[in-house]
Amino acid sequence: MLSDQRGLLAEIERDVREQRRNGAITPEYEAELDGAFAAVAPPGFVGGGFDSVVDQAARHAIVDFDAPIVGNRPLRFVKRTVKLLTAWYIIFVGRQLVAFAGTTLRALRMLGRRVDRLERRIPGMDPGVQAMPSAVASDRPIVEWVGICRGVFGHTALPGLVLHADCGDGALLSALVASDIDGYGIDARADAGEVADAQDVEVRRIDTLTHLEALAPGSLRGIVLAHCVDRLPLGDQLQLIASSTAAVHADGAIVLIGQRPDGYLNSADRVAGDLAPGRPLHPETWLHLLHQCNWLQTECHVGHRALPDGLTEGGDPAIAALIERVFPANSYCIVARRV
Amino acid sequence: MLGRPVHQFLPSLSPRDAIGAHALAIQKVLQAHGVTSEIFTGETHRELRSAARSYKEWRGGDAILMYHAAIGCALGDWVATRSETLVLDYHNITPAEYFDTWAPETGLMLSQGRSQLAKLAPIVELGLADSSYNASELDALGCRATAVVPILIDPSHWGTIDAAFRDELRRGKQGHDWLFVGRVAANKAHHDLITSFALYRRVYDQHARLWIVGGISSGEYWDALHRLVATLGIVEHVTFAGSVTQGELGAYYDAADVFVCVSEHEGFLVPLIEAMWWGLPVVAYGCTAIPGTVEQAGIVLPHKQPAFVAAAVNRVMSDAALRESLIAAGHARVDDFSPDRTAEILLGQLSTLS
Repeated sequence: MLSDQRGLLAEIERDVREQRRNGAITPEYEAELDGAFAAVAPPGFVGGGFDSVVDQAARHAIVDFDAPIVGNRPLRFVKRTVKLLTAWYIIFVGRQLVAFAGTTLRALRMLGRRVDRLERRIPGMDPGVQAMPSAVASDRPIVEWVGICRGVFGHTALPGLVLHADCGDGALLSALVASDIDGYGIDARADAGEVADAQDVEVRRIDTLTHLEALAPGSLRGIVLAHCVDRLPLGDQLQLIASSTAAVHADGAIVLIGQRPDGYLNSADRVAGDLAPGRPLHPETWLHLLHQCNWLQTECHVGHRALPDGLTEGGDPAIAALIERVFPANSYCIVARRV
Repeated sequence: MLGRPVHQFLPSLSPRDAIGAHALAIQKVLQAHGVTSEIFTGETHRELRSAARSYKEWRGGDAILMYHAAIGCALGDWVATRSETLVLDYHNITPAEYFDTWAPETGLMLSQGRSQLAKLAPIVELGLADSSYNASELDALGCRATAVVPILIDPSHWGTIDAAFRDELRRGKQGHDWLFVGRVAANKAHHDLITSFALYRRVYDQHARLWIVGGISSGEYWDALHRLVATLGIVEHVTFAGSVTQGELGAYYDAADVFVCVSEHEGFLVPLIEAMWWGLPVVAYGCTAIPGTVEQAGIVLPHKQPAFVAAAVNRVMSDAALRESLIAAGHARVDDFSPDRTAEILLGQLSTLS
């Protein structure tokens, strides 16, 4: 019986990291393997859009009326005779089938065009918006939350790794790994991997929701959600909590680092903010969503305020309330546990 | 003690099929305990015609009807209309999307199976499930009482080896040999197994071989796997054995070094237990019922990136102490599924109905 499955998996992860670091496993080869099956599979199984699946249906809609009649001599003769005798009937039925398939395909293509038009009007669905992910450089730094993350993940004996979703420059992940918290990051943005490599942490280039859905239920010790939480469309934000709930161990934790909507709109990178498919949510909203998924033990920490020179937070409660109103903390960190 | 006959109803009965073998084993157990038990099917393979009758021959009576749910068929609708005491033995139904691309007709039957399951689960007296994973699906569908009763495994059939074939397999051995046994179907993710193996050969063992044993569920998927193997340049190192005899299967298990499974959807997966019985260390992706089947008797992976799967196999192959502990744990796990133990659980559950 394996007494320390978790420790063994961590060692295997370290071996993979070592093989990547020493060049035995290159990103190009891994990308080649990832794409190899997609290249030989029919459209629709691995990727492939609606149009390519409709094209495949169109190819299958063409009925071949010319049945093969190969075989030994008497069998070939029988097949040929049956074919000749039934040809008129097969063609009669076949033409109706082809007409039905052709009309159905035409309707599908019309529907596809209508969906395309609809998608262009929905933020986050438009391919143009999807093709403009914000750069890692435009992320707000989140390393101020490393102490809380260490406190949450540092003293548990749970199996699995800690996942940092949308880890950006990898600074927070690097600090966690340096504290002996075994974890890895994911970030679909092209520049994330390069920045994180410099931090010597493992970052897989994959979209957060896709990765979470591929994980075995309860396989993560915990998850840190950052950056993407402020950019995803509402439906994806809801899915993010649902998928994280499934992937995290029953005794694990979610740490969600977000920005207040008002602070986000005043952020330095307004172009990235304006072009993001979604908007940040208030911490109360995330807490509500987490409670709905049975994350009942939650705490919300408020980030630092950027106060003008000479202004301090301490002292008079009335002044503190005024400061809170005028200079609200932009970022917050929610820690959620099930029990 | 069971006072009534228990008759089993299953969509089809075929040789070398886990559910068919399970039904036959149940019949044997019931008959050994003096319970009248017949098997009724939608279709029966010619080799097993004497073992079953068509469900249309069932004339009714005071009996418990046990329906084995794994795919949609006319029998599923028929069972739902019966007034006898119903027991559902749920072996899980593969989500149709795994077949939509490769074998749409099978996808339709699977969707039908899911609909029938949703109708049956709330009306049966008892839901039996091969695994906790399957039981949780029955619970979610409103089944009044569920119990985990593993597949009735009879290892006495497993020891058969075609020695000449095994020697032939061993003759070509230079590196480590991977084995996976199961129908060649997209939910079992043979494509991920192949890419993991390709990386393993490149990084850890250039003489490794992969043996894929199991019948074909979809010709298109089978063809795509062959194209994948050709694209990756490993045609000579991957064997698609197809459906094999019991002796050949024994030879593969006996000659292989490791059993690797990256399947994405399983309700139980008997070959995992078979591999343990044969003393093969198991490396498996932990999804659906697999963690529950393997428990601590194998390396259960939280994800299946090719680099990770390959590194896990390499760890098993290069760490003799780990390999030995996995093999020992596997043997102990097989004991958990001993036929006597499972039969006792089954009879105990059925006796609650009498």
